[in-house]
Amino acid sequence: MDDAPYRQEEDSSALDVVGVGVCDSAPLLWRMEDLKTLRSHGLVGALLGSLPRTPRQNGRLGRPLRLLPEEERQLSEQHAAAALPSGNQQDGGGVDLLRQVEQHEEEQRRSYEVQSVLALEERKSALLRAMTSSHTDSASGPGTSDEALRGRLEALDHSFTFPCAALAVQLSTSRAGLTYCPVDRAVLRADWPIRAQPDTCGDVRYQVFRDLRGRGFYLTSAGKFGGDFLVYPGDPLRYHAHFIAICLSLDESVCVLDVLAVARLGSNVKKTVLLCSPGTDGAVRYTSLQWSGMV
Amino acid sequence: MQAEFRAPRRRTRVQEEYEAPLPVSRSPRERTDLRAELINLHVLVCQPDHIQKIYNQGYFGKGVLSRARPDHSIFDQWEQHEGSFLPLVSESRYDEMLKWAGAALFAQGLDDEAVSQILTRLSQPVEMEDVRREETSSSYRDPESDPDPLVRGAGFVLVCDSKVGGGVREVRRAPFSLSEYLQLSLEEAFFLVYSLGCLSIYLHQEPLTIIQLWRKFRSLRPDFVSSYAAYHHFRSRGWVPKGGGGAKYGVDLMLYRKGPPFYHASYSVVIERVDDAFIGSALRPFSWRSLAALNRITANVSKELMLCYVIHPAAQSEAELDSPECLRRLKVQDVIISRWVSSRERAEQDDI
Repeated sequence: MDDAPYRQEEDSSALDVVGVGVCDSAPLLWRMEDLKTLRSHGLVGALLGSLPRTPRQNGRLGRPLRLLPEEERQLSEQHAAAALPSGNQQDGGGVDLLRQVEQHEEEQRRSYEVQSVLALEERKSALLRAMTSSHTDSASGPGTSDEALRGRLEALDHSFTFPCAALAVQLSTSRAGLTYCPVDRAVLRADWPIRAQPDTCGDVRYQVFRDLRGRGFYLTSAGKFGGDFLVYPGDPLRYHAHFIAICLSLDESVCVLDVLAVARLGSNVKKTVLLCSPGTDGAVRYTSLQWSGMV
Repeated sequence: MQAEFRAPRRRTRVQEEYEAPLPVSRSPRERTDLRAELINLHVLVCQPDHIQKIYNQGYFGKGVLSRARPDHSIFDQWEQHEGSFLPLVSESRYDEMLKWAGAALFAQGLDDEAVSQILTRLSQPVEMEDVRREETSSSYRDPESDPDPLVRGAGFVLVCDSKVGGGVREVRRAPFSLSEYLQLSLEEAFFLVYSLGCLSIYLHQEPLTIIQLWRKFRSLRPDFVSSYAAYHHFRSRGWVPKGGGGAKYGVDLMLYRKGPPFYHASYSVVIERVDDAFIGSALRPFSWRSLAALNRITANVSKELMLCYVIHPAAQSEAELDSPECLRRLKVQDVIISRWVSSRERAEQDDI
């Protein structure tokens, strides 16, 4: 792997730095090694992109990986992530880009010419087959049919055009280009902030996230279940979630019907609901709900 | 993409007969006079025949000791005996019940002599003619003025002297009995009084007028206007709205077609109160998280989530709300919320 020499240059005791691209305030990870590094930190994220070979499904998704705001904040506090410089590709590669475009267009033109010739051949042979099969049925003489055939073929030569819309184009599905990232790795420094302003809201969520992460749980987003986090006892690829964590501040009032609904949901999907509140002393208090008995 | 209205799902085992949608008769000359009491902020129906009528025709209310229909009994085994249907207890259980009755009499201040006399008199075997005579002449006893269960002397039991079935049965008086009342929610009670006119509610032996009831109920529940408007709206559409069970699913009302014994609930309703411009202090402030949870649990139990907006006119004073006449100016709008899963729709289109 061409990344190996870069890795050896870094200090072996320092953790690898993850390059985060910010797209409209969503923190995204694009590179394979960044995803692996992230997993080694114990953070999971969520894949968003479609896979080029199986595009029309969302059972299995591909890169980029989207980070939760809490994950991004934890990485930046640990100085383990930095913003990917976004404009780098276009500065040095302006001329290269034009050349690539010209090459591509030239290839398309050649392909068009070859394909139009092949299409004409195929039409002619089809016509020939049709004429000869009808010739065996009819009782007319051989001379007239040959002349008719030649006439038809000449007409085809003159009038045939191969439409551009029928051009077969080859798409490269392997190596879709995300591994090629012309960023000098040594330039990526951990003290580049990902964003200019710090994210002050969502403090309750971040404290709960940090506490649970510190206890060794893996956390993903639980939007589908109406909670804040899904808590796994280990890597999500190996375990089912045990808890749905809902973060509330201690002075927030909650409607009792909401508590009932979420407790009922938890027992329907076989997970325990955790109400998490960071206390004033920094420790987080957890309350678990279980729906037992039905009347 | 169109709104999909699903038909109500019938229950697998239906054991009840559908009598009538409402406890009123079709001929205008017949008047239905049912009676309920307002006791300690609850509306209770005490007379057994009234209970049966109110519950069986429209499924109003809930038995105080039962899950739905007031059918609680302290006896779980019953048997036919010479033409009457009587409960069956073992000798040991009968003695236990006698002891409880004795304890109740002690608590009332009677001395040992009197208690043992009463108990001996109770446990004498009784002839079947007495049983039949008492059954035919059952009269209404006012619950408030008659607290002593023994004096009421309700019911007889069959006592069998061997634990295993078979053995001699003896008919004796039941030491005590438990009568169950039907509890109506405030909206149900007001609907029966105001819209149908078949119920009168008494407070300390005096019937209450509609205006008095309205004010009393509004003082008991601050959002009574909205919840009653929604209840009235669904009843007039033919649904049977049940209020208490909604808390199981985190909502205010469950809507049933014809009644809970026949169909599963079709909709879970959350009642919201808004003004003309659709802004209002939400009775139930939702966040995206709580709405997602509610939507998910509603889908898991195969119901549909409906938001019922009770729209108050723009300039409405407190004085106007003081009478049920304000109901005619309210509008109700229903919104059904369902979760759209993008991959599911795509799969359907692929099949087409």
